[in-house]
Amino acid sequence: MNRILTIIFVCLTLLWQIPLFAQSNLTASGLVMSENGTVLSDVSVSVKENPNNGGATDPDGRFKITNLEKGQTLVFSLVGFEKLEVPIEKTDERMRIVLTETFIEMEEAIVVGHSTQRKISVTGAITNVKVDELKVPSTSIANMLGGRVPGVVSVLRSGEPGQDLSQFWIRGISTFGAGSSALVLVDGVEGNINTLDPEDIASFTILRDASATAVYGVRGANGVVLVTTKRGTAGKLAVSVKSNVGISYSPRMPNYIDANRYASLANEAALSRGLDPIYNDVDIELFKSGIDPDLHPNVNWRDVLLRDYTWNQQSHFSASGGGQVARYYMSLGLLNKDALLKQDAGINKYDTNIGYKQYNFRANIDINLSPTSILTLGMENVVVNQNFPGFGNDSQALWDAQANITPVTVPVVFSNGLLPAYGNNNDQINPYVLLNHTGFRKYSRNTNNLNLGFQQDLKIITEGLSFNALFNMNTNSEASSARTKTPALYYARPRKRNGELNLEKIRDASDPVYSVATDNDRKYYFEARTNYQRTFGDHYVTGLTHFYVEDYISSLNKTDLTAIPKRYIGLSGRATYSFRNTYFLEGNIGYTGSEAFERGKRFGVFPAVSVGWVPTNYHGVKEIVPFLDMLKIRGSYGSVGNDRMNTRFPYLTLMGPSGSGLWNSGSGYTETQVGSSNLRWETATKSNFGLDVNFLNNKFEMTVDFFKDVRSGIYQQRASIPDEMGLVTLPFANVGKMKSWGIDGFVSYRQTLSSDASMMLRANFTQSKNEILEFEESIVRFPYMSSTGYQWGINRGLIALGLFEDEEEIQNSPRQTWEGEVLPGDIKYKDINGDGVIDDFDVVPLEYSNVPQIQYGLAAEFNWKKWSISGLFEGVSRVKYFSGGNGFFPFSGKEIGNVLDIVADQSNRWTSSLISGDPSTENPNAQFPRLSYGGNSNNNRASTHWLNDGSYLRLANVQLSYRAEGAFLQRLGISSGTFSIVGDNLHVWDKVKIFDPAQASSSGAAYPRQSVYTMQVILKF
Amino acid sequence: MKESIQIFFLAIVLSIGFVACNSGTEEIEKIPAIANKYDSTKPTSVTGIIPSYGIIDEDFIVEGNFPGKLEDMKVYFGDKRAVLISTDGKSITGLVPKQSDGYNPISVVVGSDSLTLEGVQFKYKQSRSVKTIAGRLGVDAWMADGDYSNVDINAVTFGEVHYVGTVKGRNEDIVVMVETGWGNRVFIMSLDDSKLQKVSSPANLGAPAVPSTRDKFYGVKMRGDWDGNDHAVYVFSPEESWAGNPVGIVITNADVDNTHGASSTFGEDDNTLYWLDNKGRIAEIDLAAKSYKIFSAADQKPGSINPDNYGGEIKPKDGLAINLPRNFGTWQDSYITYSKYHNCFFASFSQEHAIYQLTKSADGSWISTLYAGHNGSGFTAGNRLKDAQFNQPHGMVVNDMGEILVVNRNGQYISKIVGDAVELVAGRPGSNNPLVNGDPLESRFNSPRNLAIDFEGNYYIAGGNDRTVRKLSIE
Repeated sequence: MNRILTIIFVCLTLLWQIPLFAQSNLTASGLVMSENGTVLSDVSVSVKENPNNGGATDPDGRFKITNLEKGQTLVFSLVGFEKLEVPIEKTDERMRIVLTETFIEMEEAIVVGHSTQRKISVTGAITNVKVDELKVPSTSIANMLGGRVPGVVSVLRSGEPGQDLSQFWIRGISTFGAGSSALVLVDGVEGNINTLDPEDIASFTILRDASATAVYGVRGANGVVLVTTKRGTAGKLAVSVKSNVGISYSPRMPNYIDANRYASLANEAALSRGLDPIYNDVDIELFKSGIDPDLHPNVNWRDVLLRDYTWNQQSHFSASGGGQVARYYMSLGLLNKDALLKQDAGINKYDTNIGYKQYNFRANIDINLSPTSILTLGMENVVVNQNFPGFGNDSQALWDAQANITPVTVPVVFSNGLLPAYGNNNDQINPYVLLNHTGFRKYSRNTNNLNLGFQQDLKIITEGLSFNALFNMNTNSEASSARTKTPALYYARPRKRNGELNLEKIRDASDPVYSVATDNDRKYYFEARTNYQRTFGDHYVTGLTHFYVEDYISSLNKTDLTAIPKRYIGLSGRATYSFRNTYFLEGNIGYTGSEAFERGKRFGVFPAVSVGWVPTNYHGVKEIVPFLDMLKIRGSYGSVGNDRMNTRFPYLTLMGPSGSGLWNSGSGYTETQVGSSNLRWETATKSNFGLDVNFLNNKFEMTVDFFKDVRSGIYQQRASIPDEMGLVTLPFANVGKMKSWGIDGFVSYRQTLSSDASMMLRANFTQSKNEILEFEESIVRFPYMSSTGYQWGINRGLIALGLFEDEEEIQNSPRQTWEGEVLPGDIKYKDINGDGVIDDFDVVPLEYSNVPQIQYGLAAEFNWKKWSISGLFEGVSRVKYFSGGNGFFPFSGKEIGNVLDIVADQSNRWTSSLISGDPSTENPNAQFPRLSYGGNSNNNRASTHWLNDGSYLRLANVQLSYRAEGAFLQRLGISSGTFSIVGDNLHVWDKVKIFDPAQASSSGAAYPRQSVYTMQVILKF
Repeated sequence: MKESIQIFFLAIVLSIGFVACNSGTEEIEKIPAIANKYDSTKPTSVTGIIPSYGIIDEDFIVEGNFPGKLEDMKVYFGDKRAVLISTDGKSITGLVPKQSDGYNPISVVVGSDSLTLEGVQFKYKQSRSVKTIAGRLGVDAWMADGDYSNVDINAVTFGEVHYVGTVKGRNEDIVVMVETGWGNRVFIMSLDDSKLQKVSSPANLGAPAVPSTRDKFYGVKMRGDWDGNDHAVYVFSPEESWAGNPVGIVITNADVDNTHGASSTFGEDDNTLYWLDNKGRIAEIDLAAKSYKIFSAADQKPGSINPDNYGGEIKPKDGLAINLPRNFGTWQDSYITYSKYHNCFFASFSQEHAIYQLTKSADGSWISTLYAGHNGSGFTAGNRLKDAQFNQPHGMVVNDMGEILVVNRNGQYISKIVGDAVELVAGRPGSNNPLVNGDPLESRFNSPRNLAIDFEGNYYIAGGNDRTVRKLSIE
């Protein structure tokens, strides 16, 4: 923190030194340059009010105009650049004029692998995300992708600060191997998308098909995310400050029943199974009246544990500028999030709340060593500080406890001041104790990235040829420290005869202890590449050759084998050709080495080709379909590799000490790993067919891609080798195979309504399906028990046929084997294999997995004068999850496990008429079957009865902004100010209702996903 | 000036976010306040009670309209005052007191008002239960002497507790425990304070004998057959911090032929202590005169006895051999207890699976009569002589209804002799697994040894191999 404050102080001090605005005179002279600092000669300099006065810049870009009058305007113009008008108020002989290159859509540059390409010539499946779309307040950019970016499927399972990071897959899950996540490259080197400050991003690109990712060789199979960060442009100092404050709350919390209803339902559960009631009339009356809080508590643990809301802060400061010799961009960012946890006053002098603080520092400096060579330096420092309560290894204990400790289990504190617990497990200790009386833990991580680059224009050899080299050093150091303790914990037994509390000690007090663990890692990365691009009349060609080496070590790898540095080496290339911007051909190839394989098999070749055709460049087509502005048809086919697995050097057979020899003759040596020969890459063979269409004067823009990805040679540990082989460990082999296919794309519509008003609508869609084609597993008895032929992670369970209506139906149905006695109101299952018995052999693949197959987004934006309002709906479908667990199945853990209020609604549960006195309570369509006190292995198991639809449509974001400019702000030195109110996760339409649909499978034992209202100010100086 | 304003704005905007604040703390209501629901516009009243029937120590709620504080309120079940826990002015909750079996009226005293619940009486049902008060069931974890200081009562473990007794405590009794076999240690446990204390004692002490004053206890060193020591008599009293002190009487080994005697008892007076050895010999110990006399069956008279210490013969009633125990075994304990209801002593001989009655005749000799059992080992209820079976009867105690409770060591149960009938009280004959508490007939024992009774009629059972002292409540 001190370091950050120092940086702020230095920045603020520097600002005093910088003259931000000039004074007036009647002579103007200076230098004209482009944004990257190249001096511009032959720039026409004229006086708008006096065409006779004027001139042009000399070969060094210099100009001098005299005899100017106050109020006149100088006009700078050059072909290929935007015209620039500069009012003259005073004499200035040190003017620095920066001209911006004219934007031609066809020439728009898209960041692609190791290079940039003209948008028109892109033939691979590449999504270029508009950076403005990523500037909503959020913990991580990963959270902004789902619903905003076609081709991305994401899930967010937690709202806890530091854990509220989306997991995302490009085009869904396409392998069941060790790694299915995308490669993220920041400024060309692997980086962490979660700690990037969105304000630092200059471009954000997602590469989805083989054509786009082949140059990444073994790293590119799961898609690639390319991020470039902002760099300085020539011109005067530009300072930007963003600051926002958000109020965050849980829109959906599970509602659990209170003590009185809990006790009544517990009795019903016990009676339903022929047990004595758990609570008597006096107990229930005492729960109601609350006059015996020690033995008859009624605690709403959510009220004890959680605040109604908490505050988040996020700030960003940047300064950029420069000139002919050097340009700079530096920024400072801060993110501060506290959890909703409620710390008790007067207990601790330290913070036990869950907190997440992130500090970002970035400096990008470009130095023109010569007119054709640029040296670049990029520095990034990210500090993450987190704190947690002391108990357990993560905060999950808190959530387990609040979901499992019922209102009647224990009081918050006994009236004699002692602290209660039901048992010793995480979910049995009073969450108030877990939060306030177990000390605290801290985690900090410091990430440093140093990028040193060199760019050389080689037009001296041939026009369009350039060379780039980049060296990166990435280091991470992290420290986890804990000052933990536990107090003595007690459980109340029935009172002593004299009325005193009779407390049984559940856990002895432990003295405070301090522990610390530190780890660090380091990665070196070097790449060198040559790029070539040139136009020959109607022909446009580009080329790329790329070479890289990488070396990674981590202190987490502590064995003699795993501590060996992990290294990659690779060579890749690309060649593209286009004719009249109508026909496009592209070839990519990656030749990459991985140390995971034995000598002679380490290198693999990954080729890909793609073609494109733009028929709208024919005059005839334009005449026939005049509303069609652009149509591009694309196709690609190629292969990419994946070498990620959980074992280092699986080809080696290893020896190690064994436990004991024959007849206890002492320890000996044995094989500890059986090596696999001929291991190769997991290979993704990807094909893609895409259309890009613009029509109605480019108001409509649409891209759609159809894709197929076949993974073969997926690493799996062999499972079908008989024991008779005598292998100590089962070897790995390239035996798995899986295919995924789907469609992704977007359509947008822009309309200018008037000179003051415009609007934009945009929809995007991603569907990704998959099927396992080959899977290494033990021999199964029935075909449906195999993984082969089904979606990866498909929900498996029994097929429920409703609830048994009466004893006769039970007697006439196949025997259900999990409980000794099945009663009316219990779940009836289908005998899949027809053997007359319902058992685990009747478990079948059901529908979908808990990762959505479809994700879509709908965005709208309306601008009027200085006002702007935008909204984003995000949705998923074809996703299902099982409800279950102690916090869902009522009384499955007896005294442990809260009961949802939906259970208390009689219409939702089956109750015997012998208990209720009302035949209508034997509702065959009830959600909850006949209650049980204690686990019921017949009802509480995965089946279609508990399989629920996790689809939702979410109003993910609404933003109202006002952009202020004008004389008043100018007088304050502010060129513009944008004031916004942003709402995040404002409403969800779904079938889950009681939890956030993305968290439903946690049954309430998870930090709820948050809704956030943020006020934001952006000032530009 | 403009630069100053710029910096000012920059600093203000940045400070919104950079001065990151933590969310802080707040006061959490940990112990909920109980709202007073007393309605001052209505008279003080008592309108109901739940439950209308129940057992001791259960929660009850009396409903009505009650002004004032809990300290000023009293609730009676018949003439028994209940311990009260809490009130909100509309209801009072407390614990059902021990009371007469059957229906008892409910009355409430609030300040100076005395109210009786009309139309409803509380039906009290005696309850029976077995629960552990010290040690852990089945946990054989030997603790060193030093570990007993300030030990949590729930964490105590024992070797084997063989003998128990009860003496008067502050409100409840103090339980005396003698851990022997390997331990030879004496503990007292205060039920008032839930505290356990190891007291200074000689090795190999027998079962405690408690005089009618119940303010102290005596013990006699039991081993002569093993360690060759004489049998010194000790007294333990609170005045001496319960440390054992010799009373100046030692029964010599020569006088009892190197036997051992586990049990002693007082009779009608507190001056004479009666000690029984495992050959059926009785020592009458005169505490005031510091002398003793040995009585024995004719064939058990020690050849080495000092004639001055010989008291006379123990004769079978009516000269019938069956009235005199013969089968004593080698190591087995014999127990003696006195019944003021029968005006005699009873002795158990485990190898005979029988209880004998001992009375003193006018000529100063003792008469022995078979009282119950001697029908082989096992458990059979029924007539004490014709049907009843015991299985290694050990400790005995007589309650205030004249019932004789008998611990059956090998039978794993406790039975009682009620008049001419023998009944099962606790445990399941022949079964010691699983070792559990609870309903007496569902509970299990493992080689229980001895038992004692407290002033309220609760029994304390020296669990032997179940490593505990357990309480059998019938209340």
